[in-house]
Amino acid sequence: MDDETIERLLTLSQLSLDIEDREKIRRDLDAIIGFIEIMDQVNTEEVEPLAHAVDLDQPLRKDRAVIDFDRDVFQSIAPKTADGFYLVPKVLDQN
Amino acid sequence: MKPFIGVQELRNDLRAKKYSAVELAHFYLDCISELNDSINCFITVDADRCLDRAAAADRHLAESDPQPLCGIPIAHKDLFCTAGLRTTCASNMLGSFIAPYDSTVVKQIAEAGAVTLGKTNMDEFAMGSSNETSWFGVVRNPWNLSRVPGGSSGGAAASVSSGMTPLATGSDTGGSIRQPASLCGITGLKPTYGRVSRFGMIAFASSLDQGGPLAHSASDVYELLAAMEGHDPQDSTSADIGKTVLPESDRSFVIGYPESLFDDLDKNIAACIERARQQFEALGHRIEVVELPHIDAAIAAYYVLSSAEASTNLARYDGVRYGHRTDVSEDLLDMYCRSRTEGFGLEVKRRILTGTYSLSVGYFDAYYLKAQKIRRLVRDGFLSAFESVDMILAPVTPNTAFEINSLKADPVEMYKQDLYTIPVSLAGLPALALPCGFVDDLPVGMQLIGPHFAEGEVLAGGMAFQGETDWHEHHPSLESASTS
Repeated sequence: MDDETIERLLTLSQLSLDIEDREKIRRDLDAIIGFIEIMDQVNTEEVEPLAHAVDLDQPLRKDRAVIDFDRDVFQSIAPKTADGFYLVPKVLDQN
Repeated sequence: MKPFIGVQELRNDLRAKKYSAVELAHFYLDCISELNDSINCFITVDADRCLDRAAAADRHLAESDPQPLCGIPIAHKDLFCTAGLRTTCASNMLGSFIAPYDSTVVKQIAEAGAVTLGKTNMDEFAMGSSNETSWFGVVRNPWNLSRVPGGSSGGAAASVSSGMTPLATGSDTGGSIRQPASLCGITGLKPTYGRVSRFGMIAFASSLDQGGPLAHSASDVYELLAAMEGHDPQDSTSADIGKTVLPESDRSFVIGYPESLFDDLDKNIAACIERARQQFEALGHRIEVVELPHIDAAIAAYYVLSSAEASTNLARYDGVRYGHRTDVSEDLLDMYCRSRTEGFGLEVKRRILTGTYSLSVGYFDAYYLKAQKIRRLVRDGFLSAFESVDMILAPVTPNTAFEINSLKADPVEMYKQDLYTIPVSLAGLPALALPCGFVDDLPVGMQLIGPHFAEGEVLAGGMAFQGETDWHEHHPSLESASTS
């Protein structure tokens, strides 16, 4: 796994790694990718993919508005809020 | 009062007023005070509220019809949300997270009268097979403190095994109830996917995660399952199929024996399971050899699917609505990245990156879609076997509890610990892990795997075995763990 791929994965995952961890993760990912290639030995031609193991209908709740949480309670566990809004660093450059 | 008492005896004693629920809660809280420093099963002990709830249980016990688990202590794995009590998932990301609501499992168990002692340690975000990835430190195996308890429900298994609680909740994505139950010498059930609500259970891999009970015996596991299970309108994958029912006690089963699984198994572990097989025959059950195809590829498929689901599930941790937020950041993207980098441990990052890789353009078909196809083949292999047998007897782990730090540096070797548990998870089946012997003074487990929603049958099989054997009644000496 080359530097470019690792960098792309880190960007997609919104993570960063120091040099030591980056080398360790590179070795680990190489080993893991090598390991999962054992899947190639299984013939899956004409096999449909399976997303969930149990065949059950997904029952839907009635389409009815309910108030089952209190915004103040949920915002009380947020790192930063003001006036009912979540606060984050600036998104757009003000210039 | 003594440790390692089963639910039925606790219930009888409480109702006969041999001791009160408050006295019982004090007894277990004292055990935790004495042992937890050495074993590290509990991340949070909720002593004050535990005693308040025990006092309320005593008032219920004075009434004519107390709830089934009234006054009986329990420990919850620290990924079940508990209102007012922190739920950390053993991660720095959620180190001070206090959920505004109870998970359905916690709510239902409280309604059944059980009294929460606290929250148990686990691998971070349930990703691990040794309980070494916890932000709160490794859990030690009560049978030998230099060994791992298994994972990810290592704290739950070790807390029951060491007598700090009679009951514990856990969760199983690829073996996280069964493997620690086996390495700690207790009994644990991974229910059928959909049997137990996932509402308020912090997600790792949503198509695989399933909550379940851990206890000393199959009978106690059944008692706790009865409180945990049931349809939940708040979980769209929750099955509306009624409660688990035990079959007639004299029913004889046809038990499948997948011989090829034993080919590479440690011979001493294989001997324990072979002895159990003979015991089942002596009990009047019939053994039939079955084949389970694609077991080796199942682990690979599991790590592709579970990591892909983990990478999407853990995208929610952004430092905005809850969880860790970095102190310093230049802009929004920098805040996301620093918060996640500081909040997650290395194993969690490794799984997110693996999942992101398998879901990215150019690799999706080769990895993710291929893994989903193998998942179907593995499930169909089990369903085919269940056309001729009622349940399957199989190993749980390739070895007994291993030394702390011995596999930590090699993720692939660690993943192979789940060789026998993962296929069951991919197929969404119920499986009961229960003790069946010892090798070098360390417990050995086996699992009884059933068809979808056949928890009653595998529990009946386990109860029949435990009615004739006493492996589940062996307990660690704990001499080196005691701090008093």
